[in-house]
Amino acid sequence: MVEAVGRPFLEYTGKVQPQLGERGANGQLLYPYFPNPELVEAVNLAIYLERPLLLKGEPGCGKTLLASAVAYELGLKLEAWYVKSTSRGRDGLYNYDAVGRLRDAQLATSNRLTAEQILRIDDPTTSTYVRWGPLGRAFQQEQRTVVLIDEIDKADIDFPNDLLLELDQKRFIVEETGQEIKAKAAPIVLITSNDEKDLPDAFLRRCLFHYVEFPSRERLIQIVNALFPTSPQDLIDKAIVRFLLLREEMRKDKGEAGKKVSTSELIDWFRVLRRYPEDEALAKLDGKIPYAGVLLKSWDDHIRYLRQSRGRE
Amino acid sequence: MDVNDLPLLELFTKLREAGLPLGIDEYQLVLQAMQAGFGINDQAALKRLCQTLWIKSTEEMQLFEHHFEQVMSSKAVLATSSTLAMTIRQRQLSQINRYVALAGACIIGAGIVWGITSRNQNQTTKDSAIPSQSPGLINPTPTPGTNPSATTAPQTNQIQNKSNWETIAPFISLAFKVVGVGLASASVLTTYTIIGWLTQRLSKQTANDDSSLLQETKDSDISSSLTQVIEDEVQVAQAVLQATSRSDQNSYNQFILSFDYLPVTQRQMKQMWRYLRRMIREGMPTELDVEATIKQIGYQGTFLEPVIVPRRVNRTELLLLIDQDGSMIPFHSLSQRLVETALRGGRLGRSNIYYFHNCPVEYLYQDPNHQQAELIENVLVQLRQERTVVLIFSDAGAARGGFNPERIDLTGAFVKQLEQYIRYIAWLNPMPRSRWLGTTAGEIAHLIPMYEVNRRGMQDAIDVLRGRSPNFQERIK
Repeated sequence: MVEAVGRPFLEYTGKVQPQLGERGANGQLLYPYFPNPELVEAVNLAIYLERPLLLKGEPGCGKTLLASAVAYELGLKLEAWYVKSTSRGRDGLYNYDAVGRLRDAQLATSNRLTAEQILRIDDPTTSTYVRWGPLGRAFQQEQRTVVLIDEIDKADIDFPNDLLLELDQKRFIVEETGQEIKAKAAPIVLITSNDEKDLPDAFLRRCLFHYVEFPSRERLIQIVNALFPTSPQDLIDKAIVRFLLLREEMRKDKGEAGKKVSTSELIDWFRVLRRYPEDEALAKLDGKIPYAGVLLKSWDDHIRYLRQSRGRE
Repeated sequence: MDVNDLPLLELFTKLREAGLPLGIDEYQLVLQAMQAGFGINDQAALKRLCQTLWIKSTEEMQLFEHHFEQVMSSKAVLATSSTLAMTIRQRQLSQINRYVALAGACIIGAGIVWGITSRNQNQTTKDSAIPSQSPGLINPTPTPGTNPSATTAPQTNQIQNKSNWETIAPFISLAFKVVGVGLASASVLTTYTIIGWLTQRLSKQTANDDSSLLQETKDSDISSSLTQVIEDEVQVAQAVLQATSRSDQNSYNQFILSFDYLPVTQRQMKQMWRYLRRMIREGMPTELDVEATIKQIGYQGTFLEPVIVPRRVNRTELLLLIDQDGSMIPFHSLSQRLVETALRGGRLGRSNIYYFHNCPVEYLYQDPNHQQAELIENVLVQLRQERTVVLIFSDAGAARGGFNPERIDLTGAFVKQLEQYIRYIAWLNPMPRSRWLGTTAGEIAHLIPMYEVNRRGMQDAIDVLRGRSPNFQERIK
């Protein structure tokens, strides 16, 4: 890990990669991540200007993984917030257990709590009933934290606006206790969006924006190489050529907006291919797409592909 | 500094005119980033920087590319940006010079003086390195003692060199003096003199900085007033049109730009739909109602269980009726935008869209090509009266300017039928109000609150649909 202290300001290079099989602080497997220089620049801008970076791009191009890569290289903590359709802005800051507080108050009046427990209830500073959300936790860290707000467009349209003040001024107030939480170090906020819903203007204004491009052929080879270092180069090259061909066909078919095969699918597909001896796998790649089910996710795609491969024979 | 010398101002203004919601804050961000060394290496880097900071969607990206190419071809911006880069480098250089000079003087002088001065110096550097938050300041100076107002290249060189020499010269003479005095007595008094001299000098520098900042604040005021001239988005759209007709770009770009030539921008439309809401608690109870729970404790004397209520959701249901074909053909892209924004941007409980031609008679159509017909009665029966609002988009005969009593009667009958099933109704007319007089539209406007399609008109129409139109009855009299 790179020592982040002692530098004038944090800088992400995208060159420090975890070893295969290395695990993060939460025990999840870490993967190498190969950003292109533009993305690295955008991340550094966001770090420097202390603004959230909004990432858009087709599904599977590696928006979500970027956050853990940044956190890994800079040696910072990662707080991930996976937004759901029911999420609200406050969930990321804190949740107040009003029911628990009520219950305890009740128990206290019926004299079923020890003096110690009663003290704990009354103490406003300990925030017994406050459960911090990812942003709330990040604000209280001494060091800068990488915060991932994943798929922000999934939630209600008001959701991003509810976070404006917190992201802008980097502070919030726990209304129930009146406690003010002020960020000790500005978190590095990465936000991903799949463009399902439009985000409000006011929110966009405060974000930096970057469109994550689909990895180039070289980068794909790099990715597969890094994940499966023992694989024969022939197989990797051929598989990627085949994969890109399919992607190109899909693009012609559905246009830019349609769902195309993505990096994560390529990795799954290659994992399956690799299980076979090299010459067998190579032979398979010459014919129909092997294990098409890993790549083609809809019935339409299947039919279309079958028709095309029949035309080729 | 002249307003026109501000780096990237032309591009910034162009983009603003094209309708991107950019403010002084965004402009300042770019400058701030450039001073930190982002985007100053070459044109591509500069482009990437502006993109990251100013562009928020892929559509805007195309607009940006167009203007960037145009502005860059004139080279003016590149020149200023490269001078900016150069000044930054010069600043760093002169900074080094200064430190060297300081170090020399101080070594000769006394170790104590060195300690104090370097601390002072550090402090001032730190102070001014904090990015200024006030919106008026465009160009927060990162280093003390430099001359930020000089951005024209050759002159800067001379000035900078000269000022460097000026900075160094007194130090050298001072150094000799100190050596002399030091040899003679090395008394404490000398040390004090030096400290006094240095502090004086440092404070002078800060004062210089302040005055140059002040100067720039003035400049930024001018530029902000310059960019705020464009207020109405209609003018924005016109500016885009002029820009496209002036430039002989390829047809693709022209398409993108002229596509935005509508009296209401997409963003504005979405914003307006968002006002159309009626929040109702509905569905599974999931939210804790603290107030009700406390009240209940008051009633029961003890806490038994919390009161849980459903979440608030928007239950406004929109029925959008769109006049298609005939005199409405020029407005198809406008109606298409209405449909898109209502479906995507608005957060409506449900939106139904139907098409008709001239006036709904017997049937409404689910598609713009009038293929899938549905009986008006069937459509109306499905509506939920307490929630549904209707917005009609039609020129009501104003485009051709005729007067057709039959159309008035038919429309009147339809509206009467409609009103039994819905809550509120409003009419949007793509033709300007001045053209309604004496036409069918003029008469229909007495039946239904009718508005022009522009920002104000749409706002009024949405207000009507929210049940806030106290002045409609007065207006038609």
